[in-house]
Amino acid sequence: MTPAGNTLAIIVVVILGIASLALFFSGLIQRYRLLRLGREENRFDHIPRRISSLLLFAFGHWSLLKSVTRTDRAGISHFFIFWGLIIFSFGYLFFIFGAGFYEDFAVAVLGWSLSTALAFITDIFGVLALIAIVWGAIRRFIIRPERQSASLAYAYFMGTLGILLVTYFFMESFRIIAGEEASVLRFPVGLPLAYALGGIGLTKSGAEIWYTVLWWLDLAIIFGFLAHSRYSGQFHAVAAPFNIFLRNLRPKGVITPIDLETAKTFRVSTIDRLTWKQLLDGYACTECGKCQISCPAYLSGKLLNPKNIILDTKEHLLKHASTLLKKGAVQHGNFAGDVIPEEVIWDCTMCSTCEHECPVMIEQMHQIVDLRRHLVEQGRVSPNVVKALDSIRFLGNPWEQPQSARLDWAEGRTVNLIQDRGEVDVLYWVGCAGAYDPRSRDISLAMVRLLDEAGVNYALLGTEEKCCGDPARRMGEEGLFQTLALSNIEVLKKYSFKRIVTHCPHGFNTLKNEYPQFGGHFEVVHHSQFLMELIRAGRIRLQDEQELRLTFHDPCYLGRYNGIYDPARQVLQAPPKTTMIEMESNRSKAMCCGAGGGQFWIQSEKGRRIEDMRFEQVQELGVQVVATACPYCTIMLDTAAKIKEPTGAIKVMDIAELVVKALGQRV
Amino acid sequence: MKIIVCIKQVLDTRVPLVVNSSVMQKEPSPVYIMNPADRVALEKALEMKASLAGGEITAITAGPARAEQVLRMALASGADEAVHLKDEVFEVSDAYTTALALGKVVKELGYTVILCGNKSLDIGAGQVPAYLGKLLDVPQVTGVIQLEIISQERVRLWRRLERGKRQIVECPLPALFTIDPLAGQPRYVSEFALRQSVEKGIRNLMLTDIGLTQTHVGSQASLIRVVNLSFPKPRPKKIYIPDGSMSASQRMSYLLSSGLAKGKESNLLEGTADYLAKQVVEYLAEEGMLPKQLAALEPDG
Repeated sequence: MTPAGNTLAIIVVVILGIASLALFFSGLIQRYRLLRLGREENRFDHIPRRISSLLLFAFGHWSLLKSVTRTDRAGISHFFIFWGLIIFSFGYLFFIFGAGFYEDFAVAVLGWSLSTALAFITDIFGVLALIAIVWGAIRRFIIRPERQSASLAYAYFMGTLGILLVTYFFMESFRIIAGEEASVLRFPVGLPLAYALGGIGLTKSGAEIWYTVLWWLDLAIIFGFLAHSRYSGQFHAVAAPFNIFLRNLRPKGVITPIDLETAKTFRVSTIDRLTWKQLLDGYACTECGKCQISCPAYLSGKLLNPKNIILDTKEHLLKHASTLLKKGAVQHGNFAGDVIPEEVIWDCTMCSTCEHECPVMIEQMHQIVDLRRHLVEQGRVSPNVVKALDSIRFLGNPWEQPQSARLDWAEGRTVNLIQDRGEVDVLYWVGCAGAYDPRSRDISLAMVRLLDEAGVNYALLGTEEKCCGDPARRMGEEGLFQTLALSNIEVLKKYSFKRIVTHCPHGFNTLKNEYPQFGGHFEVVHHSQFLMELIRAGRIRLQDEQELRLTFHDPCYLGRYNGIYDPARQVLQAPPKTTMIEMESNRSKAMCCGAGGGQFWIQSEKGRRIEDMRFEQVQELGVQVVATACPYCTIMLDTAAKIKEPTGAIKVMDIAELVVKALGQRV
Repeated sequence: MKIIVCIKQVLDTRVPLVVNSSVMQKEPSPVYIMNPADRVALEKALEMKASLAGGEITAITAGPARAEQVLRMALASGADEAVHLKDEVFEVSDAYTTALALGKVVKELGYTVILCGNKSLDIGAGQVPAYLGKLLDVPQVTGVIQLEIISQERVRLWRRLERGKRQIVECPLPALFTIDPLAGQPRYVSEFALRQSVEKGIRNLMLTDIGLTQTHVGSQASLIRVVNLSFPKPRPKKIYIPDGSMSASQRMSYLLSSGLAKGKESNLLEGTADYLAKQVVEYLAEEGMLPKQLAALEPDG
C-alpha cells in the first residue's frame, strides 16, 4: 500500500511539506531574531560540562526524575512522553511516511533487523506515551494541581500527539490485514489490534481504504502542527534542551557583575535590555509551576510568582514581536516596574528555590536582580530600601549604626584585633548582624568563646570591617556593592591570615563566591564547617549529658547557594544525647526564613510573614530547639517564636550557641 | 521656570557627636550627608519639574570643599546644574552670613522658585531661608508639604499644621518655600548614577566671584555668637502608669500597646432601660448576689 505512490500525490505532499516547514522555520527564525535583541551574555564556555548536563538533564530527564515524589509523579509521565515522541517520530518517518511512497522503505533504509527493532520500541514507547498522556489529562483537567493550569495549549498539544499515536497503531494493523508479513516482535501492539479488527469483520479492501484515509489525515495533522507551531504553547520542547545546555554553571547564588566603567545603564526599561538568555528562559518555560509552589513569597500570599515573571516576559516578547523586530523596542512604560510590577520585584527573598526546582534551568532569581537594578538606578524604591541602602553607603552597614560601634558586642572582654596581632591562622569575619543586632551578638560571643576554647590563633578586623555588600547587591545596588567589595578586599589584603571564618552565610557566600569577581581570592569557611573540624580534631570537647530534641533549619545561602548541608548537622549531632529530627522541607528544599535578598529591610507587607510559616513547621515536630547557622535566620525565627511560642518552649539557637551549651560546666 | 534648591551638608547624627563648649566637634570618623529636609526639597523640585514638563533645577550649597558630595548627589538625582560656593569659612558662618552669600549667588543665577529644607539636621535654627527671603525681597512660605503651580506667576501651597491640619495658601512668584521633611520620600541615588553624574560639572564659585570676602561671612560678621554647646541632660520621660488594680500582665500589654489595649473591663453601662436592667440582673446573678432561679426568670411582656 503506497497512498502517495503516484505523481500527483507526491506533488501535493511536497507542496504542503514545503509550505508547512517554511511556516515552521519562519516561526523559529522569528524567535531566534527576537533572542538576538537581548543583551550579550557568554554562555558558550565549558562546552564539555554543558554537553554532559544536556545529556543528564534533558535526555536523561534527571531534573524531572530526581524531583518525583510520592505526591507528584508527573516527572515519570513526562519522561515517557518525551522519549515516546522522539521514538515515534522515527517510527512514523520510516513506517508510515516513507512507506507511503515506497512499500519497503524502512527495510530498504535500515535493514531488516534494525527496522524490526525500531518498530518494536515504537510500539512499546507509543503505548507508554499514550498512558502518560491519558494520565496527564486526568491530572491537569480533573485533579488540577495548584502549580499547573489546565491550558488549552496543553490540551491541543497532547491531543494531537495522542491522535497520532492511536492512528499509528491502527495503520499498523490495517497493513497487517492488507497482507503485510507480521510478527509480535515487529508489531507488539499492531498485531493484536489487527486480530481484533479482523475479528469484527474488517476486510482487506476496507483496511486499504482506511489506511489511505488515516495516512493523509496524519500527514495533514503533522503539517498543520508544524505550520501552527509558532503559536503553540509547547515551544518548550524545542527551547528547553538549549536552555539546559546554556545554563548557568556558576554557583547558584553568584550574581552576574556589571562593568561599571563601560556600562551605560543598568536599566531594563525595555525588554531588549534583558539578556538573550533571559529571553530564551521564556521560550523554555514548561509552565510546570514547580518554582511557583516552592516560592516562599508566593506561598505566603505575596504578589510574586516566579513562573509569571518568566511567562509575562515571554508574552510581552511575542505579543510585540513585529514591533520589536522593526523598531527594536516597545515603550509601554518601563519593562521593569510596569510589565513586571514593582511590588512583584521587591517580594523576592533570593532564596533560589525557584532556580533549584526548575527542570529546564530557568534563572528567575537572576532576572529579578536585574529588574531591581533598574528600579534602584531610577531611584524608584521604597523608603525602607532607601534607608537600608543609605545606611550601607554612609555608615558601612544596613543597621544604621556607626562604624565606631562595631566592636560594642565584645565590650567587657578581650578580643584579638588583627591590627595588633600581625599574622594569624583565622580571620573571624563577624558581619554586620553579629556586630550590631542584639540577638546575633550572642552568636559572635559564642564564636569567640569557642575560638578561645579551642586555642585557635584568630583575630578580628574590628572597625575596619564593613558590610560585605550582600544586601546591597541583592537589592539591585550593584554599584554600591562593588564599592564595598573593593574596599573590603583592599583591607583584607593588608593583613596576613590563612583563612576567613564567618558565622554568616551571606558574608560567606559573598566573600567566597563573589569577591573573586573583583580580585579577592580568599579561603572562606563557614563556622559550621570550622566547628566540625575543631570537634573532629578534639579541640572542642562536648560533655553535655542532657537530652535534647532539636531540628535544623537550613539557611538558603549556605545550603542551596553553596551545597553545604552536612557540617551543621554533624555539629548538632556531636553531643551524645542529642536527637536530631529533620524538618519536612529540609536541605535543598528547605523553606526560606524570609530575610534573604535584602527582604530583612525591604519588609514586603502583603500576605503572611514567611518566618511565622517556617516556625509553624518547626512547631509540628515537638522539638525543644530549632538550630540554624545564620544570624538572619536566627533573628527571623526568634521573632516568630516570641509570637507563636511565648512560653519559650522552643528556643531558636545558632549552632555555635549550642556547642557552647554542650561544653558542659567547664568554664 | 528656574528652580533653585539650597542644600546643606550636615553631620550624620547617627554617628555619635562630640560636643565641646562652643564647637560641634568632629568625631574620629565623621560621616557627612545631605540635610534630610533639603533632600526632600530637592525631591519636590524634581517632582515639580516632571509635572511642568520643563524647567531647570539648580542646586546650590555654601560650604567647604567636602560639601561637593551633596551637589554630586543632587546632580545624580536629576538636578540640571550645581553651584558650589566654596570656602572653609562657611564652617563657622551663622544663618545670616550664609544667607547673605547664598543670596548673592541666587540673584546672579536668576530664579522663579527657591526651595529650602525647613531646618538643618545639625543646628536646626531654620533661619537661613528666612534671611534669604528677606534679602531677596520675595515672599516666604514655611512648612510646605505640597506645591501646585497654577500659572507662571502663581503657586498654591499646602502647609502642614499641627494634628494633621493643612493650610492652603496661594503665593505670587518668584518666591521662597521651606519644605517640611515629611513632605515626601526622597528617591534613592545609586552609586552608578553618582558616577554617571560626574559628566555634569559643578560650577565652583569663590567668595570674590560674588564680591564678598571672608570678613563678610566669617564669625566676625555673624549676628549670632555661639556661647556654649552641650548635650541636653537626659530628661526623665513621663510614663503613664496604668490602673494599679490591673494584673501585671494587663499593665504590661497596656503599656506596650500605648494604652490601646483594654485594661480592666469598665463597669459603666450604657443603653436602654430594658438593656440596663437585664445587665444589672445578670451581673448580680454572676456575682452570686441573686438566687439563680430569680435571675432565670424572663420578664413578662
